[in-house]
Amino acid sequence: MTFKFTSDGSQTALGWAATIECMGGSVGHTIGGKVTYPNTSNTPLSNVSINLKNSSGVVIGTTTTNASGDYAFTEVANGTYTLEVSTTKLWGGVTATDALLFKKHIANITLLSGIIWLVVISMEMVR
Amino acid sequence: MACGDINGNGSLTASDILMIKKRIGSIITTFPLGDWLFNNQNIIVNNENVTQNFNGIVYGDANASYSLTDNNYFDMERNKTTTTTSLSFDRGTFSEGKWIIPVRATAFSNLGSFQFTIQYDPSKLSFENIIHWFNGIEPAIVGNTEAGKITFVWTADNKGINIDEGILCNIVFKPISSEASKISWTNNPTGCEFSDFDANIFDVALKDGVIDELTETTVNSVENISIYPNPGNGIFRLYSFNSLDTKSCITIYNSLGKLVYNDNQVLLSQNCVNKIDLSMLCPGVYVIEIQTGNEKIIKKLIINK
Repeated sequence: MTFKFTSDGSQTALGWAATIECMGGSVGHTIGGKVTYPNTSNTPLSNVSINLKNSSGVVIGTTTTNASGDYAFTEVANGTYTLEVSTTKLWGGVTATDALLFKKHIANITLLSGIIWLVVISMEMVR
Repeated sequence: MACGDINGNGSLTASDILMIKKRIGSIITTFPLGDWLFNNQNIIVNNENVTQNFNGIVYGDANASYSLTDNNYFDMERNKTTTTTSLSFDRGTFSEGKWIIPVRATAFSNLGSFQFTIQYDPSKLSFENIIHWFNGIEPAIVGNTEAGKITFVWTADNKGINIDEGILCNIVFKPISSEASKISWTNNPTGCEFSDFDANIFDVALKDGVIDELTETTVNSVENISIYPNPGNGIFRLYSFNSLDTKSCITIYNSLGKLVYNDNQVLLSQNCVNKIDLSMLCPGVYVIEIQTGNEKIIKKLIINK
């Protein structure tokens, strides 16, 4: 956190106090959210790694999600960033039934929607 | 972005499905883009806090059934059929130095997909190939990357397949030892799952089988022709383990010795299944004679309706 002192040039007499005000503009901000599996329960994904990259692609922060799937980067300065999520959790849950569902989608028999597509979530700005 | 787009070419295609099937059957063990797909984001911080949520899904998981507790699949997103189906192994036939083991399937209505692993003793048997798939099932993907295990993955094309009672396929083994051995179902590496064409999961009862000891009698009773299902409901299928150049004569008698069926123009060729329709006959025991040149095979045929 940075404190900024400004003066109008006047001087206080001996025995007077000066007021020091914390200016919000230069304080960093928090990037946070939740990582979930796109099933009907939106099950949280814990222990998932998240890299924060600056506009040059350099990793400037790394964190992992907690048991509720939540993560946060604090004191992030204004700018453009990329959040990159990854996990070493094992592959699984895929069966011939999934292959059948994809096949029916390609053949235009029954179209899949929702969970197979990872829709980019609109950015929500909160104070 | 789609979790089915395994090769990352921007759309779902048949090659993606092929890769998914090969991965299920443990024929491949990785995907080109990794195992997980996350919707990574660019964000802008501009004097305010930012909330950014993410989804992550394993590649290929169309029904989002990945289990977060055991890294396997669970039933949360899936419907189960109420039908109880079963899979078992018929007693094998030893022919031309190889064991032919039929895999019997019962009560599969509108079958849309399956995957399973069959386990055998690699110190006693060597896997050769799969022959005579149930009509409409071929092509299925078969893997044998691990000695002692055969993986199977199949999905229907445009409709489900009905197998009331029939042979799903025949497994051909070459014996390494003459000793008897077991053939069984296992969930490793490919779990057993059968679904109908609407992706409802069958409740399958699995029954293990045995492969007989090879005795002098077994080896000498060479049967080049197999009939299934026997007993059956009147529609029999007949296949030959060899291709025969000359036409065979098939004659069927009832228990009183009366001729009930005759066809002398049957060409029995390997991998070609001949159908005999005896559904007009009454239930009972019949005798089938198959004569090819100077060789005659006589077998008992049972019709149960």
